[in-house]
Amino acid sequence: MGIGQSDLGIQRPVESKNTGFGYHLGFETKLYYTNNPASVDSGTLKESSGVWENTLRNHFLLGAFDLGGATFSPMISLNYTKFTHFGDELFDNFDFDSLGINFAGVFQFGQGWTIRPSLGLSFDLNPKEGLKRQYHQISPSLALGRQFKIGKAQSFIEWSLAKNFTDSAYVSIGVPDDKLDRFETALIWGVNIPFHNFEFSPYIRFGYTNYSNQDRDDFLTNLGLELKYSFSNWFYLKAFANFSSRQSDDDTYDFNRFDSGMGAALNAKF
Amino acid sequence: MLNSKLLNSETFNLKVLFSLAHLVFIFGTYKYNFAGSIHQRTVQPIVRFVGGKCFLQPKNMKRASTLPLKSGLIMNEAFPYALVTGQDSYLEVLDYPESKNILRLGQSSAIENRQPYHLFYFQGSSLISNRDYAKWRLETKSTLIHLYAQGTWMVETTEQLGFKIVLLEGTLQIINENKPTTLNAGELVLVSEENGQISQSIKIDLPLMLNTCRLINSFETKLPSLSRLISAAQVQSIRLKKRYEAVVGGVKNKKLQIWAIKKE
Repeated sequence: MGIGQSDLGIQRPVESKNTGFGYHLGFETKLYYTNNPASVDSGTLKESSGVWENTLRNHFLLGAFDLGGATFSPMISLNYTKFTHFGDELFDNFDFDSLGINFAGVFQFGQGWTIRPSLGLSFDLNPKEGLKRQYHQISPSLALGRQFKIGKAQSFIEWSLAKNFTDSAYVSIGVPDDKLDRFETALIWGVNIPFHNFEFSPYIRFGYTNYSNQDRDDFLTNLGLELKYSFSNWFYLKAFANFSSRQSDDDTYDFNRFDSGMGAALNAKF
Repeated sequence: MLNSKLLNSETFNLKVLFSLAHLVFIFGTYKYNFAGSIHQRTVQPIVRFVGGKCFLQPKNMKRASTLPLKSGLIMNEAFPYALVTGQDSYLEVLDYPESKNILRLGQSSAIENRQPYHLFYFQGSSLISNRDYAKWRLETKSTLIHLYAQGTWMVETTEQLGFKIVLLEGTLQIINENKPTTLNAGELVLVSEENGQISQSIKIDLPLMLNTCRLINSFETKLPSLSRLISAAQVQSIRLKKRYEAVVGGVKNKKLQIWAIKKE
């Protein structure tokens, strides 16, 4: 019986792990222009600059489990990002490092549905003060998403809810450390369109934020485009552009920001 | 006094052990009886889908003649009878032999239903989906095996009338004269006609198989276990280490044919 003649389908041998434990290591560097690095509406800080962003990513996949109609994959992520500003002395003190730890469990269902509860911890550190902690937040969140195909393109939509418990180290006297505590909900839609070694990925995100320790509500919009060229499954180059906008009921927090640049990434899976 | 306490403690431990052993025994007996009871419960199978030309052929042809099958037909024929599909034809029977079970036949297949859970394959392929654990007896002219299964699995006869068996989801254990062989989702084995010898299992690319399997995709009706098939394929995708540049073919001269995929 030849290939394709069997009603059982094509039988291609594979090798797989017993539990699905995996480790992904990635490094990404990005160099980009931003017209508003301080994300402000107006004033002296509304100047453009360059940003060099380097990220080291570690993802530990703790297995893949068949729940009979759904799959469950717990994972831990540990990321470190370094933001370095250049081109304007005004932003010399804006450099910071960010450490993020995320615990997530991904439930995947048929028809491309996913539910992803997670707990994220992030710390902003000041590299000019011996990595002294400037800010940290703890964020439990829940996301409901769906992936679907549009021709050859892979599209996704995700709705998320998150509560951020914050602690800012540098606050004025009389201002509570947890001033930035907030509830966030967001809807993101994106599509990955592959052609040859390229992948074109536009996305749009709408977010609503309510600050529980302030009388403040924000509405955020992000629009992004990314064009990626993969040389192999472990190395790619990309060009990207992002537009971000915040409309707050306190006008002083409004801003529009445009970032655009290039990046390169190395990835390894074990 | 101390000795008495120790003795009491040992007696207590023994009692706990015996209680546990008793529970295990009851549970085991319960499972055994449960599987056995399935064999005694029969329902009227219903033809759920017919694509092309499919027939029911009673063994006793003097009593009844060949019956062309149509969707919605209740099969009240007494065992044994054969289900036959023509070229480019597919058949799906619901509630065979128990409620909510599915039996699908691929193209050019002829399978005799001798008893509930007892199938005799003249040729062809089938997909079976049974949610409750059941013991099946599968036969060809030259091969006989028993298997315990719960899930969705496929059987195809080989050239020498052995079997090719693939488990798509659930659990399956093949029992021949030697030790039982347990399959996991996405594994394929060959059962040869010589004493029902079972080959080493091969892991198969489940997403590719689900996309190209006519026993899944050539039917207007949806398999009740489809979401389980998808989750088994998703788990395999996440656990995947390597895809071989080859595909499994048929069995020729008692040897499994592996076709290399030509790189462009």
